Amino acid sequence: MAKFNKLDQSDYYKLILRCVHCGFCLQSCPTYRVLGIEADSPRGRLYLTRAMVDKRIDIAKDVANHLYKCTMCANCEIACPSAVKYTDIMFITREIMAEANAVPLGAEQLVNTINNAKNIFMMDNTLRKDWVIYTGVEAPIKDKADMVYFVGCVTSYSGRIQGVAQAIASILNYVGEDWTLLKDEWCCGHPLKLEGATKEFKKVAEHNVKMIEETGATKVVSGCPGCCLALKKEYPEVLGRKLNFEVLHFSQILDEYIKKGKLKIPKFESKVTYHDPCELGRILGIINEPRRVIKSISDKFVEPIERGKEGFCCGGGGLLKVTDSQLSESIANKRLEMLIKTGAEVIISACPTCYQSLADATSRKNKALQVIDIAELIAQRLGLM
Amino acid sequence: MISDHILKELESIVGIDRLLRKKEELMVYECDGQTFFKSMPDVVVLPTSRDEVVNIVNICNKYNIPYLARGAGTALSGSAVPIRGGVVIAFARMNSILEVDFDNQRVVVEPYVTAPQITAVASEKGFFYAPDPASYTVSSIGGNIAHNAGGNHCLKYGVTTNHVLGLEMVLPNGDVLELGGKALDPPGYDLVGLMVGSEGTLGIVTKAVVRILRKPPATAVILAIFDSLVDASNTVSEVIAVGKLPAVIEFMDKYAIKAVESGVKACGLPLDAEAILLFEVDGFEDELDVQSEKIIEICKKNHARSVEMAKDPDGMAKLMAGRKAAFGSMGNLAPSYVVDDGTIPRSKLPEVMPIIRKWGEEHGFMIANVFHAGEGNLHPIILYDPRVEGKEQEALKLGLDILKLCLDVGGTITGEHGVGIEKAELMPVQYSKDELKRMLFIKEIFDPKGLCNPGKIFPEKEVKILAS
Ligand code: SF4
Ligand code: SF4
Repeated sequence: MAKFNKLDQSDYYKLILRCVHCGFCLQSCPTYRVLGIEADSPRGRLYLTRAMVDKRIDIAKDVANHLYKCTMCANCEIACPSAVKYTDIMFITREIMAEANAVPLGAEQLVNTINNAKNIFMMDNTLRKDWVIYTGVEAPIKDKADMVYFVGCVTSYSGRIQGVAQAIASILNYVGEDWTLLKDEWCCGHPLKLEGATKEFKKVAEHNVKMIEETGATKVVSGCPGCCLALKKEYPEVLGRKLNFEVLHFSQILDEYIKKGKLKIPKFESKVTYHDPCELGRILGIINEPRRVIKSISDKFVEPIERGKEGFCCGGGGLLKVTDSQLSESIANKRLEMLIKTGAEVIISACPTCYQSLADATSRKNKALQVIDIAELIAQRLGLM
Repeated sequence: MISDHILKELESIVGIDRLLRKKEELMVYECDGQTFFKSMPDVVVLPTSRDEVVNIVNICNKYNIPYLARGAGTALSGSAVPIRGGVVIAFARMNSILEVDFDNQRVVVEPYVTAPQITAVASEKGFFYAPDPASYTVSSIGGNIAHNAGGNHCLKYGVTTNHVLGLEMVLPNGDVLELGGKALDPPGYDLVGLMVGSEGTLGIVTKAVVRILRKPPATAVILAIFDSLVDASNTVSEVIAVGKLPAVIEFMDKYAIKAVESGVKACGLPLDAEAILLFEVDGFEDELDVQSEKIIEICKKNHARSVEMAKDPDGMAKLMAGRKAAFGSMGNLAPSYVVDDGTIPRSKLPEVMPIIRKWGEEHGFMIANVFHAGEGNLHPIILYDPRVEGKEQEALKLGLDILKLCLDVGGTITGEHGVGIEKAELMPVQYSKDELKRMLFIKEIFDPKGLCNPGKIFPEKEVKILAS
């Protein structure tokens, strides 16, 4: 509450006031496109935020239900002609909501889970590397290395996505990279940031940065755009300092290997399309790298509509999976329709969450369509898995 | 307030998920694209079919509850503001394209379909849907019909009414009325024409048959930069006077340029220019060249500082980028604005533009102008800070003064945004008592109880006097 009073005339309020209520962002919003409800649109969420600051409505869970349905995909920012910094505003708003204990139950539980277990699944964190045993791939844990592979919770623990970790590890081995896993990797904390739990997020950031810096690595690679975003942009912000390592998504590494001729990959014959993960494409601006990788092995690459900077969310972003799983699924169905329209037989993703959302949507549809992660596809073509 | 048993009846039609009644859900429906007029509905329902709309209207009728239809809520005159509370029927879930009939160049749509959606299906065979108001990427066809929306291209292609041939409507008594159809120009009274532009006060559109046109084989865009408002204004009249109509003539003044150039959509327009004009010409290649040369010649004759032309899609998009971004970029200059929408005879542009500029300066407002110059459809945007006491009222008043100026020089009080709440008080200035009376007769025939989008177009006082 105090924060609102303090912020009344502040920069935060100015950011909110930039929204002139034109509605040009409506059609870019996945939640609005599915629900058609103004409170679940970018314009509506900004209006509610302003109403809370103006004390026209309370900071309450009922409002949070709408604010936390936002997948934080940032597509509205691309559509907005007034350059409203929607996600910046929402991160502050969510901090305020969290402080006021006005957060949807699912989001609150997730924070507790991460605080206690250091991962999003309430699993024993010492089992985080069990994927190495299951997949049988070689994955070193060294004191010192040039490169750290930051695996992330979803990839570490979710059965079929462990294949992505296997793929990344096997390609790093194949190229002869001096790399290591972290001795004690914690959740990257991005979900904490999404919830508004800044203090907890900072703790996690401190831990992971310490772990990474101890290895002396100059590069951190991850196959998860959420982890990349946390490590690359959100950690320096919350810690207030520059970090001593570069953060790369695995598609960037692949692109570099191919450019340098380190990988000779046999062509792939099926017709393929690519789904831009919001955090990778729009937010981190990594749009061309995965495309170059795909085009290097495929002559049958087709672009979907709503791609690149304007990529449509898979429904798995933000905390939507825990705040409204049904809506998350409806958005995934909608995205899948667009990808199916390309006529592709294989959908390539570069994010474990997108992979999950789209693969689940595919099985709901009973379609004989393959969803595969870019790392897995390359590892398979190289005969590494 | 609507009692619980009525809410239950509404819920039995749309179900719990498509009935909104909590404060935070309703509050966001209290205004449209312009936040000045605010009034919260008692309930919002999201129908998915015509039959649901019929049932909703029947309930409103039975219990005398005011209601209105809402599309994307991008209108700028308060026409979708539930001024007397009641039921907002939000159409966002009725967004399917029902039929594409290439042979007859017709598309049948539900009301929440957008223009780009129609063009996307039409372009498969080289067609497009012409009306393109500034909000066309998001605004609904239903809303476009309610306001008879125009757009950049209306100089050559006409406004919404020229492209809507048939309507399915739910009337205020709950009847379903089919008007027009796929054929052009049916005999008798033009009821489709009556409905288009009636701002949802005569009934609710649940389906529309629209016309698609063949895409012109070639297009070119010309951007001319001027150091004087008057020179730019004279150019517009002269270009039209030579007879060959460009598809688009758009005008941006220095504040509109400043708005665009201060934001993320900056595209390199010169900040020291007084005005720019954008022309789009289309047709067959050779015709295009002749026309473009003529336009360039007229611009130069009127002292254009520079004239640039592009024929390739990227180049054209680059020249048009500023215009596309202009409206939404106003947030770069001030947190709020009033957009007015008057028309004037084109020949009056050189006279009116400097007056608007002067009035703005006198009252301490920046007034940005970005508009469809070809039709003389002005959109003065009066920028203000709502946190400064009294500024909002003052901006609104200045807006009305500008509209009166439009009337004085022989124009109208609205080109395409509609009358809504904002301009209702100017209706008696624009029209004689007799004209207004006949309009109110029509309203009476369709909506004797006055429940269908009440409080719009006609000023309350006038309605009472004329009714007595
Ligand atoms: S960030 Fe994405 S989900 Fe959230 S309001 Fe914007 S477009 Fe909608
Ligand atoms: S966020 Fe931007 S696009 Fe959306 S309503 Fe506000 S100003 Fe318009």
